[in-house]
Amino acid sequence: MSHSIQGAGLVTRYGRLRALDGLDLTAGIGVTGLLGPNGAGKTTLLRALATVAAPDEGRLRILGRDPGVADDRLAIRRMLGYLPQDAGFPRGFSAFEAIDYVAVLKEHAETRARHEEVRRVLRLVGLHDVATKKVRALSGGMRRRLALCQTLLGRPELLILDEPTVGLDPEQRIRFREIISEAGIGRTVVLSTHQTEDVAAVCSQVVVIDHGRALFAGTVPELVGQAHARVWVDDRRDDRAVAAYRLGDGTYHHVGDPPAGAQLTPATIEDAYLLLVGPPRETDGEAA
Amino acid sequence: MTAQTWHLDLQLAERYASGQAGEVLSASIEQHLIGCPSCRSHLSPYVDQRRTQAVFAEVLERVQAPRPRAIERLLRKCGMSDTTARLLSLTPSLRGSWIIGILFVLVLAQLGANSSDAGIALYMALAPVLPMISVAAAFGGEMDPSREMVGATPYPMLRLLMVRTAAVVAATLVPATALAFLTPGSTLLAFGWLLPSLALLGTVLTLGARVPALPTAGVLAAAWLGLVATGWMRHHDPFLAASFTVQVTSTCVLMTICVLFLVRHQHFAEEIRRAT
Repeated sequence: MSHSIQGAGLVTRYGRLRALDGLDLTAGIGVTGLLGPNGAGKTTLLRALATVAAPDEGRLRILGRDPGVADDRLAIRRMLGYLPQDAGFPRGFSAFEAIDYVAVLKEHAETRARHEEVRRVLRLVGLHDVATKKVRALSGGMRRRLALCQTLLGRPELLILDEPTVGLDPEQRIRFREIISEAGIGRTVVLSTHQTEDVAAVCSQVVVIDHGRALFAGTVPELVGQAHARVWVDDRRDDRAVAAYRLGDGTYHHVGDPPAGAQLTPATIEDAYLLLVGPPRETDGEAA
Repeated sequence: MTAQTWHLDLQLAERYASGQAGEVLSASIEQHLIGCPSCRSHLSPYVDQRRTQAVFAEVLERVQAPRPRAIERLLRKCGMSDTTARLLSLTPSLRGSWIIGILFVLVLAQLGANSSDAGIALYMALAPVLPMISVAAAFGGEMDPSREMVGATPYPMLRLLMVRTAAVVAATLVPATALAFLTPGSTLLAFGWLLPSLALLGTVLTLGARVPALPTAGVLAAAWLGLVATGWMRHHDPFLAASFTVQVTSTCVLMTICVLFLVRHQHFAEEIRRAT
């Protein structure tokens, strides 16, 4: 199987911090989810895949091309849609103007055809009714959809989405998942999140990242399988567990190596994730 | 409600649907169609769907496509392409409020220059600094919330930078020069600050590939204002910026930047890409 993205030994340094520390990654057609805590290196990796920040070391091929070579980088950008974590538009622009601006940068030169393409992508994300509204008048969820909308311009082969569902309410997240699932048909989508539900809902492949390294790469069932027979419930909290939390019925949900005779319960993707990266940290820096 | 006296027959419906009924008859038919659901449904099968879609697309284009902003319209009138004008309209320091702010400061300084030597010194100090800060704002990306998205598009960053810079320079240097001419008998005031201004601009653009542009512009502005203030306090010379030493230094800086750019423009383009 040929992979749209092949990365090996990727290293990115910010001073003494190694945001990527020899990370290996492959991704093909479909939706690949990057799962990891804050500061794990997800954003750094996605910026490298979006050709905006080259890694310091390692070998990276995107859509069969080398992003370190100027001509290849240009070719990749022509096939790329990128949603950065902090994507935004000037607040005084209308939704239509904002997308039209990106369309110009994406080489949609002919005005009439460009405007049709802008209307198409606005319709895809359900914002065609607010096309003439100013960005400042849109809700947070609508602004995030607007940012996603620009990635779909020109039907790109590769979509790089950094935390596409962050800050959205449940209804908006479901709408986002629908859009992303459809976008993943026949093209490569790589998205980062720390929402395990998002990964379970839309991703065919998942990569768990922590400290700049890939701890796991495989399908969602394979990830869940990592926690098979390692999840149990008990009336009391067991401190030997990797992670434990109290459930609504007063019992404790444990993840780790169960004691003899423990009451096992089916594992979820969240359990498997906790087993890989450990319990939530007190300080979650956003550096990487 | 008026009773319908006539209805579309087959032949008339076909002529109207194919656009061959003529203007007057078409207007009459359309007036009738508004009040006659029976004729509307009768006409439907004769209407060419492609024509309808084209008309609907035209309506959408007129309704949804934004009316170009004042700055966009102006740039298009000056012969600039639609796409370049659209890109420039997003330049933070080309927005109306920014330009008005700069002009306001320059007009105040110019009024001062008309009244005293200290006013002239103030104008000579401010005139080169304001275009530089505008260019830094257009260049650096700190004021552009879409900068990360822009960096992943195929549009050449160096071209975007140069187009924005040219527009900002035109929008700030031209009025500053025009204002300086309003001070009677002062050629030095009108032209003396231009070379230092261009040298400061060039320095910000060159360094901006390696370090953030706005802070760099701030440091350079502080250094320039310090130099002019020192000159004023020591010699009470309002035209220090136009002095031989400053002019020669500015020329040397500009020539160095030009040579650097000519020799290393590929390297410069790569650094711009990384910086933005």
